[in-house]
Amino acid sequence: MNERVSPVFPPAPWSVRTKRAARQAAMKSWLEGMVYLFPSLLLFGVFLFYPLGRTMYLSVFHTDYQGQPTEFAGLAHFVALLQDDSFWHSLKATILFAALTVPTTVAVSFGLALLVHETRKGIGIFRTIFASTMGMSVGVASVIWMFMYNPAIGIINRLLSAIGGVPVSWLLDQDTALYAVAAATIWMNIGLTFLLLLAGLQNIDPSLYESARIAGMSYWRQLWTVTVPLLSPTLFFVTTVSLIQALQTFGQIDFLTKGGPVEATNVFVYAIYREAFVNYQFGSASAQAIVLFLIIALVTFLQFRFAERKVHYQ
Amino acid sequence: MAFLELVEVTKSYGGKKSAVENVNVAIESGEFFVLVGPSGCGKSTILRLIAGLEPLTSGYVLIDGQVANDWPPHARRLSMVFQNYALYPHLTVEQNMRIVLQAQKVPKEEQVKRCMEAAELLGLTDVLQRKPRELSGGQRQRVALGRAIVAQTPLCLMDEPLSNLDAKLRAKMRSELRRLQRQLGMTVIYVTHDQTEAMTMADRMMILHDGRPQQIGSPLDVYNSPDNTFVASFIGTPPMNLAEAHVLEHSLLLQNERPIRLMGRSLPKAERVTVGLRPEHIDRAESGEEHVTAQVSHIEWLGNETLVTFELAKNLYWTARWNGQWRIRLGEVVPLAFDEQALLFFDERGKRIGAPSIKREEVRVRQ
Repeated sequence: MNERVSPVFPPAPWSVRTKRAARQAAMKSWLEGMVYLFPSLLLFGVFLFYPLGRTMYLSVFHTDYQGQPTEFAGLAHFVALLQDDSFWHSLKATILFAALTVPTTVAVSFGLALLVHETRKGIGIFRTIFASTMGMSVGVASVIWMFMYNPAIGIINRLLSAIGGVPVSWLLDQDTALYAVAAATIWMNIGLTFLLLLAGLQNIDPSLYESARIAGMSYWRQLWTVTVPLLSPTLFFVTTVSLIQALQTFGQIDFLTKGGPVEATNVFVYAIYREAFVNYQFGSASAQAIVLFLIIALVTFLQFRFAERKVHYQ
Repeated sequence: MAFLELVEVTKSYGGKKSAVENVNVAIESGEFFVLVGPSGCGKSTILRLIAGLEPLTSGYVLIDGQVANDWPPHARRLSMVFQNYALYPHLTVEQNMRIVLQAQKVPKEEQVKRCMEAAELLGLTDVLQRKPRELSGGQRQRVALGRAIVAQTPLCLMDEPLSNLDAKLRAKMRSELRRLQRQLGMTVIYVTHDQTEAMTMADRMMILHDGRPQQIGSPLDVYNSPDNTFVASFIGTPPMNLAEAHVLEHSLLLQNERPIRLMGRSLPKAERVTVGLRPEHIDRAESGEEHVTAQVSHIEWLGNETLVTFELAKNLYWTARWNGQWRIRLGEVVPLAFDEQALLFFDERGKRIGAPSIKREEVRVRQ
C-alpha cells in the first residue's frame, strides 16, 4: 500500500526523429493548409490573378483587334502614355474627381450618421432613407440624375430659373460636367458610407459619453475627444474604400457623359475602357491599367503609412 | 444638514411598473453608502438619477439642501466610476485623468500636480504614459478611480467598480477603496449586487428589490434585524434559514410536519408566520439538551468552518455553520439545538413582526 508509483516516462526519443521526419511533418501541414485555402485560391486565381497576369503580359505587346498579342513592344506603351497629353489630362480629371467626391462623401455621411445617431426618434425611418441609395444600381441612379440635369425639363434648371437663374447645360458644359458627375457620385456613395459610420458610432461605449458629460465636456469637445478618435478606424476604412472607388469610377461616366464633353470627364478607367473597346488598343489599354494599379497601390500604401498613425484601434 | 437627499424619487420608463419607486434617503458627508440588490432592482438607475444622466419621473434630488433636479451632470460636482471603467482607449493614463480637469479649465500645473498625487496614491506612477489596453484589469480600475480622485469632487458615485476583477483582487480592492475614501474624506455612493461587498464596505446600506427600498441601515443592523424575508435571505452567506410555520401554544410547527418546542421565547400572536434563523444559530445538541434530530443532506468543508445542510421536513433544508472541521457523513442523523432567542418571525407578507416601518427621513424641500 505504501508503494509509491511515480509516473516515470522514458525520455522522448528525439534522436529517433530525424530531419527527414520533421520535413515530412511540415510538408503535411503545408498541404493541409493548402486544401483549406483551395476554394478561395481558385476564385482569386480565375477572377483576379489570371486577369492581372494577363494584363501585365499584354501591356508589353502590340495586339490585334481580337486582343491577341502580335509583336513584343517592350515599354513602348508606357513611354507613349507618358508623352500623351490625353493621359495626363485623364489623370488630372481623376484626381480632381477623387478630391471632389471623397472628402464630401465622408463629411456628409458623417454628419448624417451623427444626426441619426443622436436623434433617437425615428432612427429606423431616417436610417432607411439615408441608406437607400445603397440599394440602387449605378445605372438607375445615373438615369435619375440624367433627368434632373436635363437642361430643358430637369428639376435643377427649373428650380434655378424659378429663382431667376440662367439655365445651365450641366452635363454638356466642359466647366460643369465633372462637378455634376461628382455630385451624382456623392449621392450614390453616401448610403453605404453613412451606414458604416452609423454602425461605428453605435459601437462606441455610451459610458464614455456619460463620463464626458459628468466631467462637463461641451458637445464639440466630446465630438473631438471621444467620437472622432473612437470612430477613426471606421473613418479610415471608408476613406480608403471611397478613394479606391473614386479612382475606379466608370459606370456613372458611361451613363452620363461618356467621358465628354471634350474629355472633361474622361477619368482613368473610362479612358482605359475607350482605349481597349473603342479603339481596340488592348496593349496600350493594359499598360494604362497597370499604371492605375500602381497608382492605387501607392495611394493605399501612403494612406496606411501616414493616415493610419492617427487611427486608434481599440 | 444632509449632504445628498433623495425625496420620494421615482423613475418610470413608461412601463407598468416603475424602475425605481419612492426612494427616500439622506446621505451624510463623508459617508460610504451602498446600494445593494439583485440585478435589475434599480440600483444603477438611482445612481444615474443622482448623476443627472437621466431625468426623474417625480421626486427631488437635493444636493447641499438645494433641489438639483434640473442641474446638468457637471453642475452637480460629482465624479463617477463606471463598471467598465469608461477609459478613453486612445489616451494615456495621464491624459485619461487630466481630461476631466481640462474640461473644467483647471490650470495646467495644477492638472499635472493632482495627476501625480493621484498616481502616487494609486501606485500608477510607472504606467502614466501607457494606454489602457496595456494595463491589467486592476490597473485600469485604479485609473478609473484616479479620474474620480483628481476631480476632487465632494461626491463620488461608483457603479459596481469591482465586479470586473477576479475574486482575490476584488477582496484586496475592497479594503483599499475604503482606506482611500477615508483618507480623502469623499462621500461615496456605491452600487453592488454583491452582499459581501455591501457588508464589508458600507457605513450604511440600502437594500433594493424591484425598484423599492427594503431597508436602510448599518450592515450589522441589517444583518441582525432584517425588516423582511427578502432582506433576510439576501444578506448573509449562506442565507438565513426560513420556513413557514404554525404558531402553537409553546411550540412552532414547521411546514405542518416538524414541531419545535420553545422553552423561553415568547411567540407572536399571529397564527401563521415565517420563521428565520441564521446558520450560526444552529448547533449540535449536547446530551440532555432539548433538541430536534435531522438527517444530513449536504456538507461543505471550508477549512475553518463546516456548512452542514439538514432536511428538517419534506423539501425544507436548513443549513448550519459550525466552526472547525467536522467529521460527519451524508445521511447521518444529528441532534440539533436551535438558539431560540435568535429566531426571527415574519408575518404573512414577509414583514418582520416588530420591525419599524420604513420611515421617511426628515426632509425639508426648499425650492
